[in-house]
Amino acid sequence: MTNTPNKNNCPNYEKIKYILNQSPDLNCRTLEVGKDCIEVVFIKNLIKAETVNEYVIKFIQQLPEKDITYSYLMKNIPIDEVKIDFKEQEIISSLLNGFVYIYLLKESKALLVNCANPIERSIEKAETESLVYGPKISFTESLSSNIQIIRQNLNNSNLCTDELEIGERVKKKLRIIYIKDLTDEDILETLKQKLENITTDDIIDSSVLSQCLEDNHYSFFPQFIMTELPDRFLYSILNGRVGILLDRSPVAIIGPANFFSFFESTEDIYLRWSLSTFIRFIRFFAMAGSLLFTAFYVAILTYHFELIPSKLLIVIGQSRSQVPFPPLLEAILMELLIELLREAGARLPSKVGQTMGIVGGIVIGQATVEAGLTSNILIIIVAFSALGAFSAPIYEMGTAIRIARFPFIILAGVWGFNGIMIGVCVLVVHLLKLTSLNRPYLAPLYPFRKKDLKYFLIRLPHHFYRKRPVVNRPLNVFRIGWKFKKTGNDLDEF
Amino acid sequence: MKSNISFVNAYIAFFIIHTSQIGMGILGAPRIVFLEAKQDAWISVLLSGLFISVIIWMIISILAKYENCNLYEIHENLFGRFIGSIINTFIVIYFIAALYSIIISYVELSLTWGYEGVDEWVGVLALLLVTIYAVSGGFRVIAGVCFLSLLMTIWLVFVFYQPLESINFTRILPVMSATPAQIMKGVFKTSFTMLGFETLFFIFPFIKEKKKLLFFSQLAIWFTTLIVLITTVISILFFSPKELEIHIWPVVSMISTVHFPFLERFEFIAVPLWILVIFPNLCLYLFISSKGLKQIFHLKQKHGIWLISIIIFITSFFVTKRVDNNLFFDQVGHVGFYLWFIYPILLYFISIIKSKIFSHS
Repeated sequence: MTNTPNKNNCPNYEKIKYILNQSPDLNCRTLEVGKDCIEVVFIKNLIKAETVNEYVIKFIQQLPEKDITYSYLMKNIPIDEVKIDFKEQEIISSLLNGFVYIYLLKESKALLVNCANPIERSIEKAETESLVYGPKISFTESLSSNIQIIRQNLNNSNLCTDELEIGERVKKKLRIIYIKDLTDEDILETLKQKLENITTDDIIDSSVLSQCLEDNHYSFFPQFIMTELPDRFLYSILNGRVGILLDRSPVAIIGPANFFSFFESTEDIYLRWSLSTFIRFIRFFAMAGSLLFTAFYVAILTYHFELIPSKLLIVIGQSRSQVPFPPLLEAILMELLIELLREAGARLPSKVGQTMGIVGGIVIGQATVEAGLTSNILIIIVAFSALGAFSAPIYEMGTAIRIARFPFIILAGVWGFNGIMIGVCVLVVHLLKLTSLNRPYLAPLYPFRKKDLKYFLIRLPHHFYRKRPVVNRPLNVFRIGWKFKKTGNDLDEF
Repeated sequence: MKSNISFVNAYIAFFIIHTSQIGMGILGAPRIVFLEAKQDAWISVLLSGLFISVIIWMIISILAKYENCNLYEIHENLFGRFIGSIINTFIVIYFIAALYSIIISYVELSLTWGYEGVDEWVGVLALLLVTIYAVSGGFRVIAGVCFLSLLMTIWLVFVFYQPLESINFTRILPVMSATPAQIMKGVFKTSFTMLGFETLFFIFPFIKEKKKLLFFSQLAIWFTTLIVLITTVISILFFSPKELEIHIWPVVSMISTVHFPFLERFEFIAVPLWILVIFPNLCLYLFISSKGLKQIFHLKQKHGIWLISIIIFITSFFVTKRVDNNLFFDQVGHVGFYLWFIYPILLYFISIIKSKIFSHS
């Protein structure tokens, strides 16, 4: 408590008012206690009025005259968070964060006490990532309640929550969350370096932050996992990843991400291994189909209708006989239509949105076929690929696939299956080139990590998971899983 | 410069060597070997596998003498900067020619099987651009391409179970009817297909555990030999001798008999899939030739790959006749034979002699 602030650093009410541009929200109660005068400065709408009344104003008024000194107040004011050593800039930002500035005129010393009353949404069920099974809680906009959720779920002294501030004009708090004896220091160092290099006036949301942190800004693919589910967040942290929480943003960032982690859902762990393996394959298949099926349709009908068995060819031929467009144009039209429906469904008010989506889909789908603008087969394929893209557990990966589909369709129209294969080559090379926090994106497939496949491609019974995935380079590979005891009994014993 | 080189594990060498061996050649290999050695073609294939196995051993012992050097650097080391550069220029020209012949023969294949209307230059341009994109990612990406390419195409081997249903075992009899000279000619022809193991000369500095390299490269060439052997034997059993002589790409013709309930003509899938098979070849050859340009002319690799691609693209406009192309592929194959089957033996002895002289003085 030897810190005594410099006299010049403690402005009085007038000066603060000047700095805050004569804001009408800025209030000052001047308390006259004996010979001394105390200014209690705060911003009206940001503080909790009861706290200020009870624990600041009433407290000071009840004090005997001799106790009204800076050092006594500093030690005894009944509020949990008190700041005593600060710079002028910090006073303003603290005031704007809901602190109360108590200025002792005689001593010209001041202290800041926290009486903030942040607007908080109550903790609710997750909206964008829905689980059938497992915890339903989701992050909210408040950093402190997010930290609370994490701390309550992960009771470990090595859980670090390093605080940083980001933004030049609008300062925002940011927490880097990791487990100290698990997370690789290189990854942490890279992340911190990247965060330091961000010089921007403001970061609106964590999704913007994640885009700033990406290694390749031109890629279609998300390079960080964005999640609003604490359990997913904690699962990743426990496997040696790093998480970032930004204040005022309900979506957490997890890195380093790899391609396959976007197809994981925490539900895969909660469900039995057989089902989750099956579901994961369905997801991969849906993704590949969503990316390629429409392109196949275009390629087959433009170049290689010999490929189709004759019975199927008759069906397709009949349904396409009325269509005046080449397959490429037809497919792009339908894909755009589906995207339009999706976008309209997302933008419309929720009640109207759903009806519009269904009615629009059925009416437009039916009508276009009956009018002879598209074939039935294409409607099925387009609907399948739309469904496939939505099956991604992480929304951003679904959007990436939806966008990446269009180049494939165009390539298929230009050079048939060869075009698609060229597209696949580009995609493979692109995924090989991508990195997330300098870790390879296509791991554990390349570089090949056999033991990690059970994390990212399939699921096995839980006793197989005694080691953490090595793609994140955890410092401590072993998780002590429960021992699967083999009984040495013979068939006729028990 | 050597410090920030990107290393890969030794097992990746298996994928690199194998995928650079398998390429356009295997599609036509059964026919050209059959033309020389008749139904004993499989003996030629096995012999050439044995031959390469010995050469691989020699290559590795040459490379082991010069730690972390590729062939270009070894040449400069052995013959001095001037003569070394001349040999290196020759090698770079060979690789550019090989790259050119792979691209042209693929485009020719794809034009034959399904794309009669498409212009040739579209294919050449597309293949070149993808290759440039991959090579500009550096060796790590190329190694990944080799790895994934094999993973994504190895299942094509199982497609042969359908032609297996209509084979005739008597066609391989009588065994050993070809004269040794015919069989040796067969070995010579097989070597065109098996070329690609020379990439070992250039990937050596990138491999982490160099002691395991011999094992994995042997594994790779024997795996290649096995696959060439399987395709040759199945082709011989499947086609009658006269048929086999007229099918330029017997493997594709054989695949065209494959049916699935949902696919009538599988070759229209297989031919585009072949892009994935030749893709590692393209990447490696472009990488190696641009590396050579860097060694000789100190031209940055990222500029070198563009220069080479532009050369190939422009040349592709001039040579358009099937006959000319064939002649060209044969020439490249011949040069490749002497360069990678005969020359390593020479180099092996030169390096031994030179090291002996040095150790004496």
